[in-house]
Amino acid sequence: MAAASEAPRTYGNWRRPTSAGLAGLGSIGTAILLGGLVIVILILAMGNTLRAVLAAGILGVVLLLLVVRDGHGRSALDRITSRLAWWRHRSSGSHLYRSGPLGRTAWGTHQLPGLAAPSTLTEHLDSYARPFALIEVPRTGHFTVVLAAEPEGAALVDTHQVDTWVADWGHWLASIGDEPSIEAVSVTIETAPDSGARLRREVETNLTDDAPEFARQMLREAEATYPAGSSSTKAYIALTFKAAPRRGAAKRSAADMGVELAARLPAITHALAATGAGTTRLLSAQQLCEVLRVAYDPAAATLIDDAHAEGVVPEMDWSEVGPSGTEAAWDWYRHDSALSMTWAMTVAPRGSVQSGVLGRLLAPTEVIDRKRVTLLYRPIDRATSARLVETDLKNAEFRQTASKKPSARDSIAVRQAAATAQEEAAGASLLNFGLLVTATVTDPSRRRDVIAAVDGLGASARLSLRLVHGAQDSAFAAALPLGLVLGKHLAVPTELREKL
Amino acid sequence: MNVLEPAVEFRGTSTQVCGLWPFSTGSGTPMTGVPLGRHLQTAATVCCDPVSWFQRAKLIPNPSALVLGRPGLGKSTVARRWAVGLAGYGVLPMVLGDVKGEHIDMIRALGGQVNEIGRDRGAINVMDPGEATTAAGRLTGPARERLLSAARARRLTVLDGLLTIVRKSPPTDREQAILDRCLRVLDERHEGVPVLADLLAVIQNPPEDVRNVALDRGDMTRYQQITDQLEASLIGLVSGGRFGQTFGRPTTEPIARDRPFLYDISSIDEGDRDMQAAALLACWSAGFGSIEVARALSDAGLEPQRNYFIVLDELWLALRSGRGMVDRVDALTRLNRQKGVGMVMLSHTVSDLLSLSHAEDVEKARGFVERAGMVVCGGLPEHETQRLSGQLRFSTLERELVAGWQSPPSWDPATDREAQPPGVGRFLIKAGGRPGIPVDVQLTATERHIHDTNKAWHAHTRLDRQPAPLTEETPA
Repeated sequence: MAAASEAPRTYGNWRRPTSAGLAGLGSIGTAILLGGLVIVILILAMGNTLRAVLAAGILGVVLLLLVVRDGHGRSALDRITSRLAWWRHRSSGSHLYRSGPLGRTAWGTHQLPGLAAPSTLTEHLDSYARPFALIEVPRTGHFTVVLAAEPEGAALVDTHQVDTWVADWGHWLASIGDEPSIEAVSVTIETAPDSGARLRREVETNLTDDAPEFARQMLREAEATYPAGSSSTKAYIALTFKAAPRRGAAKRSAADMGVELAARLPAITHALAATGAGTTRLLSAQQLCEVLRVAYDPAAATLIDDAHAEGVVPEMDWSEVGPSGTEAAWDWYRHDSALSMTWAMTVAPRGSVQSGVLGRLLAPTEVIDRKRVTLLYRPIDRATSARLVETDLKNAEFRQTASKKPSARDSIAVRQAAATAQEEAAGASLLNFGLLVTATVTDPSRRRDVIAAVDGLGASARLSLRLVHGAQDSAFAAALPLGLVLGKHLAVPTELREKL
Repeated sequence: MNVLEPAVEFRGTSTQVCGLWPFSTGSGTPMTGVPLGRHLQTAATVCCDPVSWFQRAKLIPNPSALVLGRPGLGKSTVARRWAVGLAGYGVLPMVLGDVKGEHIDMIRALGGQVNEIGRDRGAINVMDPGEATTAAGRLTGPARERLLSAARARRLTVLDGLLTIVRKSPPTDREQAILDRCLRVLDERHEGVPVLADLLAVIQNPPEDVRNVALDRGDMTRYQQITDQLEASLIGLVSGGRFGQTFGRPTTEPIARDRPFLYDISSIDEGDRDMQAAALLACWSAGFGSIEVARALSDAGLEPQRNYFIVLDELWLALRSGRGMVDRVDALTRLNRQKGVGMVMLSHTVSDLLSLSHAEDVEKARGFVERAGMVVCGGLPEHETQRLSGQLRFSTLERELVAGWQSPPSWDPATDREAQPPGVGRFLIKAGGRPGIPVDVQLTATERHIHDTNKAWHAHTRLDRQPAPLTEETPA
């Protein structure tokens, strides 16, 4: 028996990657500050006071743009660029998408919009002869495999069992970082209303012809009344691999990648069983197509479920799973039969939290028809991790010693950096993580209710969620179990942004 | 060109990041089997029954279930839901001994057969379990031999059981040997189907080989001394009394093997525990015997293959009726091949099941819990789930949940009646070492009337104006 007095295990000590710098600036920001000052002094030395004042003014404005940050940690520069980009996006008309025979895609198919548009799908067999789908995104050179999991849930489980699962999840995350050419991992927990098709299929396929009338009536009634108001939860894990085994190497083809992953996937899925993910299976091309089709057009869920209930597999092709029309607005995304909004986590849960902290956020909610919570992980390879934790520690110590009277915050930062360095040395791996929440409603007028509901959920998980502005379409795609890595699609790499 | 806004990234070590654990919400419930109700936490539909979970879902090692729970919380409702649902799935329900008459409506609604057993009512001939003798006539060769030998074993067990109940102690091994030999003599010499009186006659006028087994050394007086006890017990069973009336006559009506079936033993006085236990034993023997007959006949191609779902109510009643009864019940309720036969056993509480006077019996009774493919728990006090902990792993939360269901109902001043007890219709399905599935059993309008076990009251009071409560047992 676990002792009741045992303190619950807590987790925390995650932080935004920053670089060393002065006065809240990153290293590049600091360089701009110092370089600017040098220029101002030079101009001053040339005896041109007015110009020097002007230059100092410009420098001041630039620095203000970098330093002034809102509650979500976004600088004024970030906000201005996203406004400008949105304005350009809109005026070019690329926020609208029409596909199919009457659409604007040249080949008349319903292909996926946006980032996922150039993706292709192939199917391979793993070493246990289970089919798995492999998504290729040629632009970033990424291959993605999607698994479906059946979490058992922590509702009725002893704390020590949950602790074991969580620890094993940590081990899995650490070990996945060691997988060759892994780029990213995402976990998507999707809750959706239960259409009752599975129950219908269960009852209808098993009901015998000579069943007593009374039994038939009872089963039919249960079939009709039980699904009302109930919801189903699905979990997907997407593993994204790099096509190039190392920097500068030739990219592998889908066939090569399929052969290589076939041997590696069984071990990866097997290790997942101990993490509380339950039994995992690889999604076949057909299953993945269904997932995406339903994500873009929730109304199709009933049709697909009905088809399965009849014992028919609705044949789908990768070029047919996209929406027939979408419209991205500043803060919502309209796609086929539904309207979605996507939030991004801007501040990870503050302080130390217990493993159940995301519980409410992940569980089905009545107000929101469909909800996807996606955790995006980007493992950092061992060599970089070691360097990063050391730099982080040095940076923290620099900040602490830069001022004569170090703030309490600075000394805590040093302790945290030291703890991270210690954990890393003990075998943990370092990873970047983000979180996206997509809420989908079929009735656009309920948008306000959903916003209120998600705000509440975010608060219950002790994290700040910010509605993604001006990039709803790409955020929606990133929250799908597609393994898109947004950071790799950017003009300015994330690593550079961190340093501003 | 799309506008991109990469998700804000945080950084941490895997030992910390795992704390944002994504699997805290269970993904769903098994959707295989008879729809039983809704998951208490997620409100998702839960489908569950021992036959489908064993056959199709392969979630449990054998198609049996044990339903435990305080009286009045709907144990029998679960059994009935399974029976009705499985009847719809082509499995024939068989209620072997309905002590309170609470399943009769269900079997009638399914168009089944109800055999009444008791004094001045129908009889079960314990000498011919499951009408094996008649069925054996239709078979040939080894199949016939197998069926007959199984029937003989069953017959001996049930006789042992009856004697145990009558005398409060099991028969000695010498007596068992004598009985066994007498039965063989009957098989060889008796024309037609024997009854208990024929057995008594063989003991009273022993042929040579029976005397040899009794070890009377050629002395008739010694033989009579040896068989004195046995004879007395058998006379008790045979002569006109309640036992003889019920078990000593030829079977009144054979078990229908092609439709739902029920043995109604509710006419037996509830205070007469011995008679109830004996009747249950006889019903089980006859029922399982009949299934063996059906199996043998279908194997021989004489009857279509049928699947059965057996309901064993009030398991504890039989277990507690004498020393060694656990073995007898075990032998009777065990089938050589469980293929196609599902079984649910119902018992009040674990204490009821395990409070046997002999330590070895307690250990064997635990085996019932152990062997059950799944255990479905209604409201049980915490010390009860503690007692089960050797067999089932309950988490602290599960224990508390189950304990919460047995709290007493509160008083509703608005209607001047008791509110529904908090645990009515709530069960925790435990299968293997997995976390339990808490389910709220939901009745459909169609079946409400078969769950109304307070009908006797409605005739006299005006309670029937109120919706019928779910309860079917009155707390003892």
